[in-house]
Amino acid sequence: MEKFDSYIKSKVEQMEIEPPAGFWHQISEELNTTEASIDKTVTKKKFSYTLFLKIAAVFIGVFYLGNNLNFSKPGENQTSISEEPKIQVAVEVSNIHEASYPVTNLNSREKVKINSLNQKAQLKAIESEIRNTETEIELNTNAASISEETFASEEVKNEDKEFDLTETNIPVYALKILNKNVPENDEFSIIAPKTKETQKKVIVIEKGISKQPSIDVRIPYRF
Amino acid sequence: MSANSITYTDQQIIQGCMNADRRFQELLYKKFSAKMYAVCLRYAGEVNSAQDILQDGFVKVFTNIEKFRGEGSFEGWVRRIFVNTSLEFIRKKSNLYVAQEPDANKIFDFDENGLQKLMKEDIVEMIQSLSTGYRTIFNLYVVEGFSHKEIGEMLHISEGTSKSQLARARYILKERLETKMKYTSNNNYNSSELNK
Repeated sequence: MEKFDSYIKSKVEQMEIEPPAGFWHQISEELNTTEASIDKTVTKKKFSYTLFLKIAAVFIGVFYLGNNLNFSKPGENQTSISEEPKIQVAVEVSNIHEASYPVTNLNSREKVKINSLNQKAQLKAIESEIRNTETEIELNTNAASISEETFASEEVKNEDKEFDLTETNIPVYALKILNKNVPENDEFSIIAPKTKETQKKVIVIEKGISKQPSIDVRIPYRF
Repeated sequence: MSANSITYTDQQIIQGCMNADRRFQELLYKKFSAKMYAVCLRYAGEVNSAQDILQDGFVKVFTNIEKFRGEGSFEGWVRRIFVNTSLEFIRKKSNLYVAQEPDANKIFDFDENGLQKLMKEDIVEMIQSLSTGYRTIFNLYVVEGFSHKEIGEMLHISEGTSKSQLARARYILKERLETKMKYTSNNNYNSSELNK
């Protein structure tokens, strides 16, 4: 058996039979087709990889923003603004029987500027609201003095037109009440003392009133 | 200067094929096509299938040539690809039915001098005439040199089945070769008689 196997192997192993002529061209065409399909596969893989990178970048970006931006509630924003006032107006009234309210103090210390028409509209809205609430205001005429700190809001950025509050006839009683509904950029801000939460203290400033008491205005929490 | 007019070493041809240079691929084809076509014919059993295997095998060689690590001869690597391609082809085209037959270890003697008279092509033709299972196992064991264990793993059959099939294949092949020898000698005798 071994002789038979070795004989067959010796006859067959190194045997050569020429393939038909022109067979190489068939193989060459097949190679072209195969290489083209391989190129397509590689392109697809690259595209998929690029797409994957883009999606991953978007996910990372969203994750980063979500971790670093503080999407807090509106009330919390209001608190943070009131804690960091940029302009502080202090008004002090020493004698309640003085004929005139020291408007000059206001003039000398700070001019509240109202620039845009939108802000004027807001001012008028506040004014009308204050008129409606006048009946509810309790004036403490016996008070000897008022010493309050008034915090104004951030400086108005728009500079298209200046509006000097002291030169108008608008009796400004209150500027801002701590209320979460009041917009962030409201230009008036008076911060109530932290001791009383239910009632808000507002300094009332009126121009041209001879009897101007030192006032402790308490406005119900309405806004 | 074209690639055909220069004699290149195997390493240069391999490197050219790795760069997908069609000239070097043609050189490689010319170097191995005749040997590999003979391999394909032994496994396939007929010409058309052998040509299909030859084409698929060369495409595999060219597309996977970067996987050749230089361990062993390059011809052995190419041959292994063609053998595997042949086995894949046989599995696809025909069920590799390996009959569970009793061992055919009969007294095995053959006329060595008579076999010497046969042409190589006759032997290949006789191998091709075997059934797919016999032919495959005979080629793998006798010509390629695989063990019965390896053949069993490649064809998903047991070692015992591989052994019995090989014995049966040997026996059938010997009978057919002897018949061919008789036919050839008779023809020679007749032709010599006619010449007288």
